Amino acid sequence: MDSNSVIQEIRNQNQFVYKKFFEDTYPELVHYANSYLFDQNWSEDIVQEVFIHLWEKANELEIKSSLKGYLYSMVRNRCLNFLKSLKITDDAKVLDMQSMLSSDYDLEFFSSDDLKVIHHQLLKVVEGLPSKMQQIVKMRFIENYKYVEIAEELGVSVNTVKTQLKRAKLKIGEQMAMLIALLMTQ
Amino acid sequence: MEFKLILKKLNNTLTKAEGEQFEAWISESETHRSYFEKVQNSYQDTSSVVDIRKGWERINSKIKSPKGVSTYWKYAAAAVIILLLTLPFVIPTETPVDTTAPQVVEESITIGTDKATLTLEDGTKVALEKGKAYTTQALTSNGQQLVYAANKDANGQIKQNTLTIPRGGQFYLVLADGTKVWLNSDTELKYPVDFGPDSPRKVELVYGEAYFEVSPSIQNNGTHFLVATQGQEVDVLGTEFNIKAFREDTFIETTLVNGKVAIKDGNSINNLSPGLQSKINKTTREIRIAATDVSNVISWKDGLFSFKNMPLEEIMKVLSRWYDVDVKIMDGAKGKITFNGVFNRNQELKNILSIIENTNEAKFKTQGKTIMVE
Repeated sequence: MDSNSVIQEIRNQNQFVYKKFFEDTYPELVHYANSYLFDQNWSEDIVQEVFIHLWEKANELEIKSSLKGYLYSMVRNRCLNFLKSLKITDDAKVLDMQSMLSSDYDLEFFSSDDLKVIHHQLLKVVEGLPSKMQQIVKMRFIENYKYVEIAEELGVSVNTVKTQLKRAKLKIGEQMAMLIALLMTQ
Repeated sequence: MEFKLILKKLNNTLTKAEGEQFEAWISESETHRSYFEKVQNSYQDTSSVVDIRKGWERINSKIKSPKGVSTYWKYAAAAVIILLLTLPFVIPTETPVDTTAPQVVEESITIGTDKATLTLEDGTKVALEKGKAYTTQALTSNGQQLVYAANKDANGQIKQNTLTIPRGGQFYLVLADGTKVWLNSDTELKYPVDFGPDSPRKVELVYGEAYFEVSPSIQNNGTHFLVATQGQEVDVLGTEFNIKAFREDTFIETTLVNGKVAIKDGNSINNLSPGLQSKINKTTREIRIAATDVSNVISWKDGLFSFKNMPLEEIMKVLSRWYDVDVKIMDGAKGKITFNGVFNRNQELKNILSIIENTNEAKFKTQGKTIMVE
């Protein structure tokens, strides 16, 4: 079922579709929230609120792109608001960059200004990666190439691209604190 | 406050102004502190499981059910829930892709734990480790720490016990006078089971590293507390300090945190005041006293590795003791490169190595329990 029919069915209060959609997306959204909040319980609460909101306000939602993208952006907004209540800001977009890398989903809702900052951070962080991995990360996250396009451009298999990206994400994700600290002290 | 200050805090790279900003933020509320701790912990543990069923139940109890739900729906829901119950749901965290050839099963590298061997006055050896309690008239141990009972009317011959911490171990000890001692990996301490009423309280750090919080003289008939270490003697009136003198070390390093101690070596006597560290060369017996970063020196007792401008070869020595691995430096120049960083000791060695590798300054190869630095 495509994204449009899903939201249509949810508007019709079809609980089967809603539940199936919940089961398909809940873990990744919790994972995404957790990259801002670093707390599983808070993250689960926020994602649950988002799903309740979706069910109850389905008719009022104006979804421009995909439903999933819409939920991701809702989760992000709520996370940032939550952090605001802890007096935490992230103008440097460290959290956005980190969550972008750790998420498997294409986050398409950032403003162009936000993207500029995120890309700037990303460029600094990938410097430490092997050159091929670096190239693939840049093509994927900065130039927004699809897997297939990267594979064609570089003359490698799609699997290689995926593998390299996974390893890059892992490397960056795990060592984020250290890398950023190193960069910021330079 | 910007989020990145939290990261800088975790890596000890805050500027003075940022440090003040951070302190103001963290001391403002308990929730702030707790968020900081969550971020800190998350960099040590990335695995997490999301319980879809629980999430759904919470949502389902909150959303309005559509009108006229059929019985069919209830049965269907029950069926799905039963199905969900039987399936473990795990967040698809990315697992590293292993490109190396399959390897033969090797001795695994484990994180250090609380463990020690206690040698009693009659030579009996007792292995102390988590889950193994051991109690006698003079002492109690739950396997993770050892506490001696105060016995004010101790007479006659004073019995000596020895506590030996292996590589990959650490231990906490409370002596009969109430002095607290934290013992690092690869360390041996000899001490009396009881202290006589008038004579100095004397213990010997045979080798290794120990942090002492000495019970004050006024509570012990004015008796001094003495720590002998490989020819050096530290004379204490009640204070906190760290002695580091591993067998492979060139120096005996004594760092004073609080109070006052006198360092005696041969005929020389030097007083230390808090924040100072004395370094005695084990062979030439030359002594140097200089200010040092105390929290850096004693971080091990709080479960941290703190490396400040430390050459890689020194870092590897510290790691080898805690993880009980051997280290071979293949490229001598790499061993001299200095690094900064604070790590929790309660994590896998490979995490720490991969962070160091990510600086592109050095590469590690692991073979069984040997780490090669390339």
